[in-house]
Amino acid sequence: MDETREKLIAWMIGDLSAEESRPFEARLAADAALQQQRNQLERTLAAVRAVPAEDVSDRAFARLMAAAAEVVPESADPAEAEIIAVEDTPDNVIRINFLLRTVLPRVAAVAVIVFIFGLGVWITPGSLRPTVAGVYDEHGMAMVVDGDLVESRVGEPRRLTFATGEVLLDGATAVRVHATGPYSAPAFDVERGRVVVTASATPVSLNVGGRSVQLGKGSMLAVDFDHAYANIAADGSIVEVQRMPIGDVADLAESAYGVKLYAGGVPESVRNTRVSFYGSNLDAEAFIDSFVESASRFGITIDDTRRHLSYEPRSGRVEPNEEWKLDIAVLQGAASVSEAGHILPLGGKGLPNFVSFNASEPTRAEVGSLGNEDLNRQVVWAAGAEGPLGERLRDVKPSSEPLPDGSVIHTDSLVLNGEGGKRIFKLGGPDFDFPLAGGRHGRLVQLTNSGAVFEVQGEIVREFMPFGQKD
Amino acid sequence: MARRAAPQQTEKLPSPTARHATPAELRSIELKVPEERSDFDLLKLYVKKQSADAFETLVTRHRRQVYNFIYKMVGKAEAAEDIFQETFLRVIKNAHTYTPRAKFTTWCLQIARNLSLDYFKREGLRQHVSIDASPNGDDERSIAGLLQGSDPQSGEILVSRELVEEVREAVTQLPDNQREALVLRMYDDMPYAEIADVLGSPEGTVKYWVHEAINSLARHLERRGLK
Repeated sequence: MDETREKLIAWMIGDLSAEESRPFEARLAADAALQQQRNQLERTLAAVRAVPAEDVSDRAFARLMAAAAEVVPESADPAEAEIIAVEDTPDNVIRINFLLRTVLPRVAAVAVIVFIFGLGVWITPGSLRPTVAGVYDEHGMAMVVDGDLVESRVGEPRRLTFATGEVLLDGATAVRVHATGPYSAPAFDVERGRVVVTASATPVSLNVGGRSVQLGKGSMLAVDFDHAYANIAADGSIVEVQRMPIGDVADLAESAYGVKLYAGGVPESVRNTRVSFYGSNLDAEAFIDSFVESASRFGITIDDTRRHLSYEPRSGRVEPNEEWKLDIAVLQGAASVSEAGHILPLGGKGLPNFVSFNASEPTRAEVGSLGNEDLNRQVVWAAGAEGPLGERLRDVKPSSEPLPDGSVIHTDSLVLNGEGGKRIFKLGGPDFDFPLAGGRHGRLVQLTNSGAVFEVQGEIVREFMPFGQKD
Repeated sequence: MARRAAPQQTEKLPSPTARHATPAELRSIELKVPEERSDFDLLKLYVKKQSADAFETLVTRHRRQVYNFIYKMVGKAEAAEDIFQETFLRVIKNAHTYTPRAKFTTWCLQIARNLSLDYFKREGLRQHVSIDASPNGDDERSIAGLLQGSDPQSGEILVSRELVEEVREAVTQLPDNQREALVLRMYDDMPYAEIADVLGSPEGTVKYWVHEAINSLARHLERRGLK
């Protein structure tokens, strides 16, 4: 850059003093080539100045606050601070300081205890509960306060967003949410269902099936607590029958709808087989349809009167006859599962990333790592109808990307509103790398039939949009 | 109570840092409304009282300047957010060492700058592509049309979004020292003396870097069709 041009630039951005500017301006007025340079530089400077200032996102800001909450500042060297304090402080202040440091804290501690006790006595429980999170679904958003129970229904996943991350509730799920602090993730008691911690900048704690699950910050984890549970609203608007013995469901029909189903023709062993089905706004006949549809693969049929169940033996898969099953899969990062003082680390290098407990041997964990061989593993879910995959899922489009090695697709069955044979695809693997809101390089696929965007290639399903973000 | 004897070598004590704040000082700071608390006051509250509110106020006060600097350095939001977080975590980890001899922003931006440069080293990204190089034929787009003329009322030059993007990208391609100096001067309106402190270079050198950066950008845009 020649001297004249540098001076021109300096003049244009105000770097020349008044004394330097005057002769330069005189020269500029007389020099057409210099004026042309000035015009071009003016446009450049306009463009440079037009580049907007950026601000950090609120989510990143919250992430910073959460991370900062874990840092303990290095405070004063007591001896050194004392010296400085004494040097700067008159005697009467030193005496006040002594009181402040020794007597007042004790008085304050007692006062706080009395105050808290008073609160416990005088304030209605729950009236001061802090807001913990927001819960989003297709109907909108609601606030969650400390101690709230948040539920989701099959086919209507909900997203629970808090200051440092997100949790997805999928399936017939119930989770109680507890506040832990303004910049930390809430704690979750998973009463039933599927929960995916999709992203959290702070550690997350879950209690599920008598186990305590501790998830490291930035890690992702899926829990499937398939627990015996039945919830039938009086008007049939909600029907959730999960892992219930066939014989018990026949009894439920009577208690819920006043319809007696006779299961005398069904062998005892089959009556104890457990089924699951779900629906909304089901009347008695639709309820029976759903029930029979879910039980038909175990050989259950119903006669023309639609009151008598019978059994036709057939070959095929038989569901494990357990009251509950708990699967925990680490999708990214590391976690630990503890029970009665025993800690099982998961997800770290060389460690399994999957553990399964069941009711028949509740203290024995089946551990393993996800891979192509592990098809019956709970990772994440996609619900669709029968038929070629591209037809089963709504809003799908062909994918040009192959499924990464080590991926998992799992199929399962689901009866929803009496439509049997819907399938749930479970898919995940070590090589997935999806950017998630609030997370970094999250390895997670969240496939639901709630309108998320999918890409499909043959039997391959991949979602390319973070949960909750739609085109 | 007997007053303790002061040590003989008090003059050898280091300059007071946030951790040397006395209880009286802290009480005095707490009596101020938050807006009147200096950055050093906030650091004292954070270090001595672990005040999350003080830290939040401090970050809120400087988030835009620090993030904007980082973002214009690295050019990627995701990386910028990570560096932004790490910058302020370094700030609080080292808060007890900060002395008000330097402005807080200077100190904070120095940390941000070092982390940004570390990022380039770590990622192997700083394969500096000179924007002075001629563009490839295929890639060449005329940007003459990206200027949308000038406002007849104010005479202000109107700039299209595409041109802004072009400049934003070109800024990321400047050499590190020019880019840093340009961002602090043009976007933060920081005095040269302070920029010199942040970059640890003489003021005259910093001025030259700013002028050189503008010259490079102008030449680049000229080659791309901006006359």
